[in-house]
Amino acid sequence: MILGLEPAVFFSFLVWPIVYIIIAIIMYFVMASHDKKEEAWEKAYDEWEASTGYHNPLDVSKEIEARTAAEIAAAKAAAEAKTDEGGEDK
Amino acid sequence: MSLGGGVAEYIVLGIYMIGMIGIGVYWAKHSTTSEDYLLGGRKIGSFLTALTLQTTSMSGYMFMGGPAQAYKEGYFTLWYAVGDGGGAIFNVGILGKRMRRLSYFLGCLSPIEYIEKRYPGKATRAIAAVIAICFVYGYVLAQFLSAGKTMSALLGLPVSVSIIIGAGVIIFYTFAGGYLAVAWTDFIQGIIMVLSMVMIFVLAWGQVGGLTGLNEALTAVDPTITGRWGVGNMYEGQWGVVAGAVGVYLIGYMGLPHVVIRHMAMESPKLAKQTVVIATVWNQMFIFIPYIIGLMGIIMIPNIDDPEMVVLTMAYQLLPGVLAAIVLVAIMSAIMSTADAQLMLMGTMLGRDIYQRYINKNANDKQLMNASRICILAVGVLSVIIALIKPPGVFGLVVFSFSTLGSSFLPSYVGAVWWKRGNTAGCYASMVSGCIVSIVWEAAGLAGPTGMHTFFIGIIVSIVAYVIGSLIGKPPTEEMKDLIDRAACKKKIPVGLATVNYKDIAPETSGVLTFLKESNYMEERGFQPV
Repeated sequence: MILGLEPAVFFSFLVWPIVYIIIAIIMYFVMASHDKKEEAWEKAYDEWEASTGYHNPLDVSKEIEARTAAEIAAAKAAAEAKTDEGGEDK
Repeated sequence: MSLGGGVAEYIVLGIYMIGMIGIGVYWAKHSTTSEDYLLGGRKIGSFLTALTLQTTSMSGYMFMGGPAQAYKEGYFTLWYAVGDGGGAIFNVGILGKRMRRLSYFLGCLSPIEYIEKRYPGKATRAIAAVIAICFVYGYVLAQFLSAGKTMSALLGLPVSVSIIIGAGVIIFYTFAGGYLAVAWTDFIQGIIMVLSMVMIFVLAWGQVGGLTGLNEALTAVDPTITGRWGVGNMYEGQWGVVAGAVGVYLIGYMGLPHVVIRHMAMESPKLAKQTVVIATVWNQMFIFIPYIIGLMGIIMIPNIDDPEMVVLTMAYQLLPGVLAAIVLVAIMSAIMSTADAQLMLMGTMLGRDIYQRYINKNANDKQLMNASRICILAVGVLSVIIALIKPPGVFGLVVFSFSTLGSSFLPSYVGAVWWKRGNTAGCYASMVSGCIVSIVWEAAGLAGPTGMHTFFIGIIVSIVAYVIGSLIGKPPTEEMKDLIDRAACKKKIPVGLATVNYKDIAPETSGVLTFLKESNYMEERGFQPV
């Protein structure tokens, strides 16, 4: 008996929390090593893209980033302009 | 029945509700773009991602339904926990990084838009949106009903008043603060949920003499309680039922749009590794403990009227008034953290996938944000009205919605980033067949006689349909394959010689580059990629 349970029952149910945490920790290190490889790959890809001028038309991430930045800048400028106007009134 | 209903309960619940509203107001002021409102500006860190992912997945079931099942069926119920405990490993490990990257490249703000862009077709968004909106709506309705019934049972308020208060707070903070409010409330709710569970567990542990004492006492009551096949060995040898119980929660969350949208909102794909660890540790504390508390209840409260109240009854037996009231808040947290995510997703889908797609194609950022807000409000109010007028059964609605959503979308989400051949025909086949099979299986009540869970049969049919459809249908474009490779960081970067600025030398040399790329000329001669 393990903790009052038949070994088959214990191993069916109660070992999993420990097993899952061990798997998650192993995954952390595996994913961390992948991150390093992927970072190097992304850098090489960006360089290649810049050198060839290739751009996948389905990739709209940079356009969206630029548009969002412009919208945020415009919203900030509008807010600042409002604050300035308020200051003048005072 | 009213367990609480004292001053402490009202004060603690009041503070909690005001806190949730405060978070909504705070983030309402800090969400400037539609990306902020719908996806938290894709700046959600690993802790927040992990907890919002898991609290969204876990509803009030973990405080009531799960422990009640353990109380009635014994250790057999832990098969569900075995699957659920590993859910985050599969969900984040398989989808996390790749889905974050691909959705970012494609510029998607909703999980339905993601399906449409990955599987382009005239009907993709329509089919996906109809399935998702119908069944996520069913889920929202079920959570509102749970919130109302729980508050009513615990405080002694009328169900209608409880539904209006519970749903009202959820609608308010989701409407005002959007995704960031949902993520931060989920974070706080996740901490309350796990602390409450651990608190009851630790105190009950001493009373039953630890796990050994508990198991010996359970065996003395009935040896089959501590067996693998349920009380009276009712499931003896039924490995299909066991596989279903484990498999449903191990992989099922990858098909739920309100869960997978969490991957899209991650600040960076690199956060996936921390998210796996945090979510898994949280899972082990939150998933196994409620079932074991249910088992402890067999010894501590042998003749309870309503097994769904086992956790709360134990809380009132073991904890002083204010701490017991916190358990009540924890139950509400579990319900609200699921409901807000689903309500948010409804707003995202109706705003982005219906309003901006079909009604006002040129909607600007502010219009989209306002449209989503109005949709959240409309869906919330409509759900409250239906819940008050003609409330459906909660448990059936949750199981049905979960099974249909999971069966309809899981193959398409997983195949989107793991199988380049996966295409629009496969996606259509999978969504339609998964949805229809789930509805028919449930409506005909085939789960009981066949011993096959609705989700289990639905997902098998859906996967087969996805594979066959993808093999028969037109393959994705080269650009899409290129993007999938990029999302996996697997695309072969052309050899150094070919990457010189050929355009600067002569435009005609671009043909040489294409030839080298397509014919594998360089690789065949042993030139290594850069």
